[in-house]
Amino acid sequence: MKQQREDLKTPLTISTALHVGGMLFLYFGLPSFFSPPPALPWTPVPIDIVDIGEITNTRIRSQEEQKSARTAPKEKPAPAEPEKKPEPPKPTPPEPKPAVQEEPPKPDEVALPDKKKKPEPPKEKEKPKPKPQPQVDPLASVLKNVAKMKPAPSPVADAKESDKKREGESETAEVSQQGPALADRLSISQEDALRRQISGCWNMPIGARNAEELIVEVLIEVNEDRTVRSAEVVDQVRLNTDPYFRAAAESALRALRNPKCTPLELPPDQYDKWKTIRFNFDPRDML
Amino acid sequence: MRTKSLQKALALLTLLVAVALPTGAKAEIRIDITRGVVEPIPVAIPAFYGAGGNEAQFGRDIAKVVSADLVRSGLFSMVDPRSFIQDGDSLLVAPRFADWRVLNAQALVVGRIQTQADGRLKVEFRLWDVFGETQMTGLAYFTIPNNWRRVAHIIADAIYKRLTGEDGYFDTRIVYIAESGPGTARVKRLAIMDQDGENHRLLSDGRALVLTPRFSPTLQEITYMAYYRNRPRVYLFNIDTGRQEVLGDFANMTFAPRFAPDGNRVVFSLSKAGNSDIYTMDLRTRRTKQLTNHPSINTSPSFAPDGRKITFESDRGGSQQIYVMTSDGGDVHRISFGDGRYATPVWSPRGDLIAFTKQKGGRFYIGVMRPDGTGERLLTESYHVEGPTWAPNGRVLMYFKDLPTGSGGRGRRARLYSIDLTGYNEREIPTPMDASDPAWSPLIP
Repeated sequence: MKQQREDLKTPLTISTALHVGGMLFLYFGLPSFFSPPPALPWTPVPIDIVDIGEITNTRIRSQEEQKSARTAPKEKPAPAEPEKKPEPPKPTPPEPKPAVQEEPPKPDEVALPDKKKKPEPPKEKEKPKPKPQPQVDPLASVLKNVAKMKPAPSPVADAKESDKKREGESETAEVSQQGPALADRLSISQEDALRRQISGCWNMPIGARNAEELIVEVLIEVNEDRTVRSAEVVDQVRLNTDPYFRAAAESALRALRNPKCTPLELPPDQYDKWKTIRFNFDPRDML
Repeated sequence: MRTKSLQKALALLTLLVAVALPTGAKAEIRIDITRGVVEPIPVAIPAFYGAGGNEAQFGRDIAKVVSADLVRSGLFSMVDPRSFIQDGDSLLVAPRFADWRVLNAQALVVGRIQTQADGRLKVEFRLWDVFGETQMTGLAYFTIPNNWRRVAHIIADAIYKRLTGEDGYFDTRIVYIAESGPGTARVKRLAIMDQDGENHRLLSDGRALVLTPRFSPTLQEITYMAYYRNRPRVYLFNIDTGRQEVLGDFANMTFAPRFAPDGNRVVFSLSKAGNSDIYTMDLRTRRTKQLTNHPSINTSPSFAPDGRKITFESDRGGSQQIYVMTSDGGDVHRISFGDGRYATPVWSPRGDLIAFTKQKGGRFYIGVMRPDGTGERLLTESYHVEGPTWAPNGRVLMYFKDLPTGSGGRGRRARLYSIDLTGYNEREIPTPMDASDPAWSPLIP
């Protein structure tokens, strides 16, 4: 018996070793010599928010230059574009600036009426004129098919799109693009604060016929002191033809001009981000 | 080789473009506002300016009636006149908007009364958007002084329409059944009043039992049912002339008459041997046409505003439910499928809803549903509530509600109530006695 056991000792150890090895092998899998296991789980979102301040500034300057170039030769996009390939990243900011320059008349109007007596008709006329051309056009082409606005905007929009495409060609452009897009945005909590504030001032038109279709898009320009300088309903055609829509649109405008909602809840030190804001008043959650 | 590498480069390019484009999307702040508050809009209505004592009195009265109309709609609230900073004729020159913004007035109504050479009143008003500092509307009316109340209602309608986008309903009247006396010998008379309860008049003397009055869309006429020698008949009554006529002398009982939207036909039900079916009658030719033919009760018909469909109640399926058919009696289908029994369907003048009375678990409800039966909503609930009628803009409903009163609940108190379509703002309409079966007129032409 003892001898038999002795004889078995070596094969037994070998067999145990092999079995254990086999088990380990099954458990851990093949050793990988090439790629270290993925360590990704950490990278969280907040990082995006931090870096952006500087980037935005540089970009905006470049955009301004671009703009001046763009606005002038709308119809000759070819020469302008190639030179400024790297800068194109931001199509958005351009819009606010022309608006800013042209708007001064408006604040005056708003302030004066208190003293003036019958400037109502002039106001109504003047409002649509100055704004639509600089601001609404480029945006409108992207979003709405308002007949009036089509002709002017299309060239600009085309130019922008082609810009974008070119940006995509170089990898550096691609990388840098992500920066501005995030940089121009408010943080989620900042957006929430603004949304909550305006919701509290919006006396919505419930009970109207087809209230679910009364979705009003309003483009506002904001002064540096966070007061609303101008508010424009994007769909001017419907505004002037559909009394239900007009009532809904006016309820939206009243919300934005309500003293209770002045100034707007926005981060004061980030004016570049919220010079213009596009609001979408949609009663869907209340029907 | 060359073409291949070119192809590769191209493929890479397209890939890069595809990846890059979406991130290059417009970086603009967009805020979706999907909730708001449901609160009355604060409106300031100072007394309309009048130079003379008489005119000033009209100015105060008209402003009061306009304010009361708007407040009753539930969509507006009035800024307390005692807080007004600007007043008098300076308003006519121009409102100082800052003074009104401080009071949180979102709209301001400024009016003026002037007596004309021919003795008529000129009543003018402007509606101002206080935040936007613009005039929203401005109108003037000429009328005899006695008519000031109606002008006030018309102005309230104009303001309501401008601010909500819907037609108003203040320049309207209500007919209803005024009830008095003990339960065993109840006297029921036809009565009419303005929508706010003013100008109340009794139209019948109470000798005949009167039921279910309904307005013609052309306004001057009412159709109703009255018992004559213990038999109910359908009558036509002209409010202006006071002339009454029997619509038809049928061998059988007639019920629930209601006008078609064109005012030229009446739809009603006629009962034979325990069954009732729905008929229309052309008011000019007096020719009747049978629409339903079913061994069950079919009654309470009501036309859609386009005249193409009729909703009615029927127990053909075993219980009282709401059905819809075409105006010639075809394509009958049931639309109510909730628990309980459904009755007295009434199609909204706006066309988008059907109001009904519902009975369930010993309680009564007034509710609305879409014409396809979806979206049922119950607006009010009571021991007994019945007989919905629509305001001409389809935004407000009126009905009557009665509640047991006194010790042991032996007595009853029946009154008219109105409620907004959203289920908010239920209000009692003041009547001098018990009231039931209201019918809302169209806007007075």
